[in-house]
Amino acid sequence: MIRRAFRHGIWSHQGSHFGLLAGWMLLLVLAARVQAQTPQAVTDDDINRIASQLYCPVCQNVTLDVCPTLACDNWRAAIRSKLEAGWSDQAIQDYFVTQFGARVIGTPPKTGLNWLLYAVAPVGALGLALAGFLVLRKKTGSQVETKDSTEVSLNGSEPWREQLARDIRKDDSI
Amino acid sequence: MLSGAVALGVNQAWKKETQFTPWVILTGMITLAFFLLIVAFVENPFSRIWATLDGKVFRSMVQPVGTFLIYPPNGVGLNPLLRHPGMIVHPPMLYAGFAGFVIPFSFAVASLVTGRNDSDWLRISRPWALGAWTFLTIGLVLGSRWAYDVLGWGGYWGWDPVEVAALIPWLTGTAFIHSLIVQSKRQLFKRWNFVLIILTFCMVVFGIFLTRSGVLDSVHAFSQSNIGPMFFVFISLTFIASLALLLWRWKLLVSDGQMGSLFSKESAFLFNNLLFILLFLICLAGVLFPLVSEVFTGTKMTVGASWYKQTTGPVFGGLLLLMGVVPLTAWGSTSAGKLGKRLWLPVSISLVVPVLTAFLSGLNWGGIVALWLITLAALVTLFDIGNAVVHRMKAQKEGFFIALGRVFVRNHHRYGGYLVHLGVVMIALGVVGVEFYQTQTQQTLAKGEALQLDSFKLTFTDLFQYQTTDGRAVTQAVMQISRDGRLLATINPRSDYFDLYRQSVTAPGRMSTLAEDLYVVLVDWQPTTTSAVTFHVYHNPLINWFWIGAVVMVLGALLAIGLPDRRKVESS
Repeated sequence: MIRRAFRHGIWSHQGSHFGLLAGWMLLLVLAARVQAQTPQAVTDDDINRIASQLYCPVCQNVTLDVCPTLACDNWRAAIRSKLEAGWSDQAIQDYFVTQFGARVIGTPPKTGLNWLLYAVAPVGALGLALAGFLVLRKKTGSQVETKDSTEVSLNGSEPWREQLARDIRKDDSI
Repeated sequence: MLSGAVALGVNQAWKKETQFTPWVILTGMITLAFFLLIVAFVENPFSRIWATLDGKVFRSMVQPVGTFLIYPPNGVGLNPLLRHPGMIVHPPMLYAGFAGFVIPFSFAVASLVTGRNDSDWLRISRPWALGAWTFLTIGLVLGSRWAYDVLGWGGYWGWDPVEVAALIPWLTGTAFIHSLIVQSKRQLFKRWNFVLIILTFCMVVFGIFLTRSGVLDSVHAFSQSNIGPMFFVFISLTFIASLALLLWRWKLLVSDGQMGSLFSKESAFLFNNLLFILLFLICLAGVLFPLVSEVFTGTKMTVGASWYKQTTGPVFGGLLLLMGVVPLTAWGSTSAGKLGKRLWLPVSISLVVPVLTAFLSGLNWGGIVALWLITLAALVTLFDIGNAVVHRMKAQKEGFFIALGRVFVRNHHRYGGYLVHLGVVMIALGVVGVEFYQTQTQQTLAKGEALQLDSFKLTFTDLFQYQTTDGRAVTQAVMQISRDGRLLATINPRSDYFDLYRQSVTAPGRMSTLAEDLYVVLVDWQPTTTSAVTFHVYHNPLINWFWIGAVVMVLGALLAIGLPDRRKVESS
């Protein structure tokens, strides 16, 4: 078959179309590979996307994207070079944590003692819900019949009842 | 400020409740004495610098033996970051708020010591609490405005520890203001009101401690001093003593009232208080966690805005929902059915806004839910006000504006509160605009080049550099903003370099409308050619409703405080 190809001449006039096509295909594939390897242009927005999640390690509670110091300029340049090198956002964040400690990220990682911070909202909500439930049960439980406020007797002799009745007559106050 | 507040409080106690007077004097004076001790012996603002012949230097108000006075050369002036009109008013407002809360606390202590079970201390404390809350609100909003104008990051609230420290007493104070209404109306929450005012007072002192001691890393840490241990001792003693007093009178403070049902107004106030306390716990944890983590792990963790937004967002949503429901409830009892009947119409109408937003801006679920809650709260509040006005127009045969005015004046407690709620709704609108719909970009442009952000085209046309007589090197860009080929505005983002301080301060260029702000920061430029300039552009939808809402809120609070009732004065 190879011999036949040679005889008919893959490089002959007839076979040159196929060769040309194959050549172009090869070039296209190579070009695509080169394009894939060429780093995408890194924009300031890409840098800020990561920098806004990182706190300046030496300043007072300022994120890297808005920090005006020279040191922060250098760290933003470091983010740019790592993005150009193809690093992912997470890899860059991890790099900064390794370099400067976990304090550079505004959301503490969910490990060890940091769980305390994440427990505050759910535990607090549960505790307060339980407290609310207990108050409601205690304060509504003894009422045999619920009545609208307008149905409260106005003849009560206790001062607070009279005050309440006066208030209701006047108007509801939020 | 504190002296003035205590003097006024004592005068009020003398006129209205003589039994309280000695205890109000004592509590106020102890607080005053503490701050005077600090001012006189620890951080004396009037101290001068003295030196001995052998070169030793002392700071003291009076002359130490064998020293002579040193006159230092002129300082460098106020920190450039603080040169903003809001900064003239911001600190005094915060401190007026802090000082104001001392009076309700003093009356609470007086009531506990004298063993009173009534609500007299609350009656006297209410205007004080509202006044302090108003000052604190003004202080917080002015701080936000300063951050928006000066810090150049396109936002107004960074969840910085010092900001949160000022917010904490505001949260407990707001809970107190709501809770005291329930005691006045239903004789409920007697113990709880004491807990809230004690907490608010302690958090006021805690806030001052955090701001002034420098224990936390903060963008607002403009001073550091050694007042920390004294404050710590004072907070601890105050808290323990107040708590001991409360426990001593615990059995006496039985609430006589009953809650009507789960759907009554008093229940809604209970939920409101629980949500405010949850916010308080979250904020306190966020502020203290860096210190806790440093003690146990050696690393001072940063608790940033993203954590606060995740944890507080749903709670603020819950508060908005309550604002939409509470006006439809009644004191005593409201059944689920009755509440449902009152709710279905405003809920149905309020759904129009999120549906429209979803069609126009896409499915941003957080923003859509928040906008629905805002619309519901606004509708219900406006409906309630409108209902009262229409009723008055019919009953009294008054015109619309006269009826509207009289509705607000005659029942200023209630409608002042509603005005505050409308302000909160507007503030929430601004917050949602920024948190859910903000867009931004940073680009470097040559003269004549333009960048596109949303539907806006921003063209960089020129850059000037000049020196001012007050020692600033100013770099000022000129940018034209256009949409669909139509020029909307020309703005001048600026950067001022203060030679003495060696510090730059940004002055963002802004195009402000009710719908949005285009906020442009001059980030960087080529010093010699000035041909390429980097701009950071923020598109902040609805942000200006934040500032308008703050004004409405303060006006509402002032109305709620009100003037002394003329009829009562005349009758007396």
